[in-house]
Amino acid sequence: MTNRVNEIDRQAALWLAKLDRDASASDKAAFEAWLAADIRHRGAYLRAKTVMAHVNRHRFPLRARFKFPQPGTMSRRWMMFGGAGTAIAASLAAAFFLTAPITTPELPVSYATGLGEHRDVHLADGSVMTLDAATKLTVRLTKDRREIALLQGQALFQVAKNKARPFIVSAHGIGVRAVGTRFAVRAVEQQPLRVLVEEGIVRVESDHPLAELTANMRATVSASGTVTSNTVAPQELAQDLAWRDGRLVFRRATLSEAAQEFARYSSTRIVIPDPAIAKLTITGAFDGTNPSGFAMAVAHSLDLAAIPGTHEIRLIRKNS
Amino acid sequence: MAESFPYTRAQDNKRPAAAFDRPEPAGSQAQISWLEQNLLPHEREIRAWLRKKRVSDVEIDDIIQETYARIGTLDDLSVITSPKHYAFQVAHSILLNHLRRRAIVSITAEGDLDTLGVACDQASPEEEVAQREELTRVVDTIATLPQRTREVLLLRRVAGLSQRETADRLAIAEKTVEKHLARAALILMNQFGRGIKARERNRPDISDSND
Repeated sequence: MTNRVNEIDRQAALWLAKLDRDASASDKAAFEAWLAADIRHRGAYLRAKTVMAHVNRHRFPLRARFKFPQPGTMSRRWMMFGGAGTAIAASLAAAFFLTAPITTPELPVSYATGLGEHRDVHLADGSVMTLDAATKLTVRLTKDRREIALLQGQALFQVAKNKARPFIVSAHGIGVRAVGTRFAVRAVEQQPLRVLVEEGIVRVESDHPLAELTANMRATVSASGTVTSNTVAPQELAQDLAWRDGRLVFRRATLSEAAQEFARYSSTRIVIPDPAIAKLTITGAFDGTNPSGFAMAVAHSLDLAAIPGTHEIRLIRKNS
Repeated sequence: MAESFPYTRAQDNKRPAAAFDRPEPAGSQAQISWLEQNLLPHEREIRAWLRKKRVSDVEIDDIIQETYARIGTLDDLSVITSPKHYAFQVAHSILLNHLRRRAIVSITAEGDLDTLGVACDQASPEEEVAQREELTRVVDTIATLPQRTREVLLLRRVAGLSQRETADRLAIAEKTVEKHLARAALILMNQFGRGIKARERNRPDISDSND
């Protein structure tokens, strides 16, 4: 069994790598023909994608275990832009920086995700931001500060240690300051700012320090700057961060809160006309990109009817 | 993964296929994620079960590939309430088809129809240990990859850089990134689910051409 390579597996691996970048129309046609030629081809290809997804699922612990090749001084500059835009923008920026004198980029760079989209952004200082769906933020890196303005949504920040250059995430007029740590900030409309700390220490501040949070703490910050914090079990923290894997986890959340959360993931809205139903609570983990699946599960467990429409799904009383 | 979290019964173990996925040539994100959580973890066991039935290694590969194809193309995976049992059933029906095609029906294989022995999805103690060891396995596998292949896999799939960015970070051509990625995929396909130990693992040549 040693050294045995399944030929179909080998072809599937080659296709996976080829389609990993923008493939030409003729490549795509050849791929479709290959898929159609034998059911085992499709299976091997799905399996190739599955083992890659398996690696990807462990990406957070893996990031801590392996040393990553760091960008050289030349590519460091455009890495920021590479993350910022399309491949075209990246190559333009690269072309520009290869020919132009390099200056410190002090201009803020914007990053945004659409409905249901997730994105990892690697900053030039080695920090990594994971943006949840429907999130907007800007990054400004200077010699002595790393400033992130979270305009909308939520993101997890894995901060590269650098005492001389504090990492500050601001949202709703509040600053969350870290030196080297991992924490998440959530700034969703009509909800208090929420901060989760996975590792290290962060300080919540407005014009003056408000609170200091340590690992496994969750805090909400009201508009007036009142900080309510408590320590949570690591599993609970992981549930709050389940969005990293595209899952939404609710603990006794009202249906209207859940519907609001799904609205950040899909253009299909969950509509609950009856306020009494909107107040019912649900507990569970759901696929964020599948509001219909959620609505049907809810209908099933709470004895309601889920009525699908074109761009919405309505949760109503049965027989009404 | 063992979850301490109380799922609602209706959602337990279900990762329904999203109806909103962007069209993918093969395998939407939801389908792949379902396969990763519900088929890959049982693949080793299915292979062992087929091996016990004296199915040849080559044919086991065929059956596994076909199982991925059959399950991975279902529109609604949410109807599968017992993924492990279902995977065994699919593998078994494919095996029976193969046997029929060969027109030689093995008594052992047919006789086992009702005794799949995987009636429930409760993780056995062995499985729980296996799940805990999974991260170690992933780490070990990646650690034993040839250096460049490992770097490409880490940057592209763990750090989430694009293929272009990966090429630039390593100062190599995109075509080379593609080759290493293909090699990484093949090695991982040989390791995960099939359970070939890192030490006896081959370093398959992904292409006939030299570097």
